[in-house]
Amino acid sequence: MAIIELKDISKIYKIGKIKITALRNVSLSVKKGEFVAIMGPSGSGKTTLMNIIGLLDRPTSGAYFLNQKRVDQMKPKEQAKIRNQGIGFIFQLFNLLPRMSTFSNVMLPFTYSKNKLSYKEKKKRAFLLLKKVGLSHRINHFPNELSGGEKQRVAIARALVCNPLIILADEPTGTLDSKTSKEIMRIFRELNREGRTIIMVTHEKEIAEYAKRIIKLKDGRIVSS
Amino acid sequence: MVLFENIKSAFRAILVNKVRSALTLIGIVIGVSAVITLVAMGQGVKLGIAKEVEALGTNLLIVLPGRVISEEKGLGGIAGLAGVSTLTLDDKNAIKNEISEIQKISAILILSENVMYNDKQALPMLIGGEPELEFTNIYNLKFGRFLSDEDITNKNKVIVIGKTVADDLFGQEDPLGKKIIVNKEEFEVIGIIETETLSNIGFDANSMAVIPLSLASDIAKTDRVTRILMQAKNRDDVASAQTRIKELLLSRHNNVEDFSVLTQKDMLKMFDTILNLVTTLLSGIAAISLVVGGIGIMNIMLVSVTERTREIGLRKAIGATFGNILVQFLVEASVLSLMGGGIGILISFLVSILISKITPIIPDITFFAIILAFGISVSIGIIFGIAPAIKAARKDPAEALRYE
Repeated sequence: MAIIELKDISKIYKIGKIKITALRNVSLSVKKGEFVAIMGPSGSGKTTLMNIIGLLDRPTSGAYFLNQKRVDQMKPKEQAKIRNQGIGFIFQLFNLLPRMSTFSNVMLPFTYSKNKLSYKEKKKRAFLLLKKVGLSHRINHFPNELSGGEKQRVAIARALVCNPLIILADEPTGTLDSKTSKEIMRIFRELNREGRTIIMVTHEKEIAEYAKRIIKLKDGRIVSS
Repeated sequence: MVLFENIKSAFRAILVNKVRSALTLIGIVIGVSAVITLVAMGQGVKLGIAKEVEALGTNLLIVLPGRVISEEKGLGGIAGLAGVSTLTLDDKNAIKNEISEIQKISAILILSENVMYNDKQALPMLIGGEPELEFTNIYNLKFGRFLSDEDITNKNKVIVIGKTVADDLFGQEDPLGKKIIVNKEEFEVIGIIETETLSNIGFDANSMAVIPLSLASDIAKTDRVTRILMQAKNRDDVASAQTRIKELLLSRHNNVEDFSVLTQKDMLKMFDTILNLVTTLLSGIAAISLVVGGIGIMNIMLVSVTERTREIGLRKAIGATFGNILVQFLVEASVLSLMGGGIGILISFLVSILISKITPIIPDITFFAIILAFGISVSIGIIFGIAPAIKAARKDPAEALRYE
């Protein structure tokens, strides 16, 4: 019941004549409902690994199965669909669109989904998620009016709006103070308790400990999982 | 729906930096308003001419010397307006006798003489004419009488003058019955013509003076005539009259087509051809600013794409395809240039009102012109927006998200 299966993934970048091997023969299996933290020093390849799992990058060799389907060689349009419906992203720098309100930001993934939900239903779902992350009172505010923690909570709501299979978080607490970080991690833990599969990259040990499993990377290889 | 979302997003992006957007629009605004105004002016003049050609009278035909309209598209030389005419009084008589479709006919001979009253001089368009000239609406007799058959036969020294000529020579005095000097002879003023100036086709009967043709022929010492004006019995006769007159004159002129037989329709076509040419030429020049405007849009869009690299990366991360991003930025460019087009049309309305107040031209902005303007605007947006849109759509999401 592996929801994510990576088999022998390698990623090699070519910059001119120089070859950089970001990942070497990485194999990894994540079951549904797991909460995994990926740790490692800079250059260990953790961001590259996240990008491949998130279908933002293609492996140079190896295979990636998401929910038992081989996805690394799918056409760009199909991969875009999976990113929309199957994967929820949370970034270190939040990446909210600055000219849109909280509500519009959370609704954004719906713009690219071809599902048959009515506007009313979409609105209802967005409101529900915003309530869940405690931001019902900030629905019409703009990102520049929100604190870091609030912005990340908007991002979480956005990541959940299409009910994805997995949540991918890249240093979600990287720019937040310890109190806010704890709040965010509490939300993550709550989501995991509800059955969400979460994969998180972090370099902070205290944050990684919220997860149930820690995978350590070094020089593009898994050294412990 | 998707397009609506894109349009909303486009407005958001445009309104973020109002000054920048406004500057970008200037080229399009100027281009569209210039093109629309020019087209409207051309249309207005065309309408004015059509009205005036119709006002000349009904079922008219005219024979001129020289080939004015050649068989191929385009205009032959407007020859025969200078130089010796190829038409004679006998030509006119032949037409009168043999072409049954014609009910009224008059030849005219254009002279260049000045006329004098006491110490005042005037240089009207002096023509020798015949009584039947009256059928054409342009010689609107206001006072007195027109030439009579007797005037022609007896070569009476009588003259009919236009209002402007009357004012110049007589001021407040009543001209009727007075004698003015033409070619050192005394002519009695028997009638006054007053009519509306046909400014669009450049014809002003108020500056004319008419003496009997027989007398004019003597003064000019020629049996030639400058024009033959005719009126057909009814509308349906015009076409056949034109053909038959042409045949008749050809046979009289040794099969040399050194004349033109024109109907009012032909006149209109002639003016239309000239006007279309001028309008197209000028609009083409105005369209250059559209290209400049388009380049402005392309420039700003390229900057915008770079500025929003992270946004593009994010949109792709949450499921936008190459096509989604492409359309988003194309819509943005099109909305921008449509705004320019809209403003351009408003300005051309204002300019048209201004033009109609200070010149005799009344620009006519047709529905077609407005559609044209919007069509041009959207096209500019798409053509000049495609390169930045492709640049945006091509961005690699992973890289884009890392962008500072």
